[in-house]
Amino acid sequence: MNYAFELDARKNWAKDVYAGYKSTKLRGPLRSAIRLHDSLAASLPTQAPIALITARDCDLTRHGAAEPQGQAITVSGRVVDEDGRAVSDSLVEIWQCNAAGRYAHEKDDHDAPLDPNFSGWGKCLTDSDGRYRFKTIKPGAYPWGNHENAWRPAHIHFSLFGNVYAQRLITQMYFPDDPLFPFDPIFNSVPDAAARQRMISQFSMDETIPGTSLGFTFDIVLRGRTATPTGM
Amino acid sequence: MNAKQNLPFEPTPSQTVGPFFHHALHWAKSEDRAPDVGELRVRGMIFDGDGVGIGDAMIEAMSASDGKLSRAYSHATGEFAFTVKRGAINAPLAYVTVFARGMLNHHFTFVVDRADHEALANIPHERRNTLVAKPIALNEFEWSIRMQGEAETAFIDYR
Repeated sequence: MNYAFELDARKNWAKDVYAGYKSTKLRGPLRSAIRLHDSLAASLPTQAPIALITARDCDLTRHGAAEPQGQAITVSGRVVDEDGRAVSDSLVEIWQCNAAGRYAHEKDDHDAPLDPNFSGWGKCLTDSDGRYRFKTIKPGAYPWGNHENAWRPAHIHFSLFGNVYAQRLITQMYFPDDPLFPFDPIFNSVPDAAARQRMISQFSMDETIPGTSLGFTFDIVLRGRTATPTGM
Repeated sequence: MNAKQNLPFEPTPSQTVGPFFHHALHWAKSEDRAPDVGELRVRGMIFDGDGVGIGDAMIEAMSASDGKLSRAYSHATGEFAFTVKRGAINAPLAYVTVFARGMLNHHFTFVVDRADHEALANIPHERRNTLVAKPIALNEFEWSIRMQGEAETAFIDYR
């Protein structure tokens, strides 16, 4: 059976319920969100416990007793708002499966090996220019139960807070030229083809460290043109 | 910085949090605890469109007082609880963000302690009660989130 979701993505997409991704059927709200301006939501910075962040948290290859299995990579980029302003001193959290496609999570029943040297989670703060950088390994693709022969393209989950509550974003970063893109209902749950491209990282020779790691860059744009006080 | 990705600064799309976030985001999780002086606790359930509890949701609550984050995970039954500092009398009890596998986007909402709260002024009348928590003890409230159905929670698009 062939699932080319990209071909009929628009037809099957109704904002929060997307036929290709079965779990959305009972979990996506059916009514439109209510547009509201709330000065607190638009201006109050979310206070995460950032004092707990250590320098080691951004290097996922150093969380075990030895190096994890897999292709070492760096993922770096810049976080900006819709006006292009840097989102500085802002929490970025990531999580991913290991090189074999297995998450260090008890609910992952994929029959691929766990890596005792890879937890798959990291965090950091953006710098004054909105930049972040992680060292990790390239995650594998893995099967899931959504439909027959369903596989997720390799991806890294990103959680971002921005500078105010209304900028919150959780997304997934993909790798260039993944052959699984046309078949993945989560990737294709974003109806706009140009928007889907904004979830794909780019290979960067400039960020590639000789003899050590391949470089990928992923810039992130948060909401905020009208939600932040300076944009009002 | 890559010009192709960043001009003209179109937002990066949302994707589901998926089922495997728990350990990665645990460091900033809050323990369920009774409220101290000046705090309040909200307890409730999160339900899907069949009225079944969602057992793998993340509920983030932000205090309207200090913006402090309270990150809670739903239990297998769909129960959740969070404790935050109480804000001004005209502010919501908390700003709440909902995430789960099967949700393409996060969903913003808020919770208040009375049906005539001024934060409800721009919410359609018939949906206001979805945002009103029931007092169950001193500084303790009960409030549930429903993703679909007759009493679907009013979710907010902040502009």
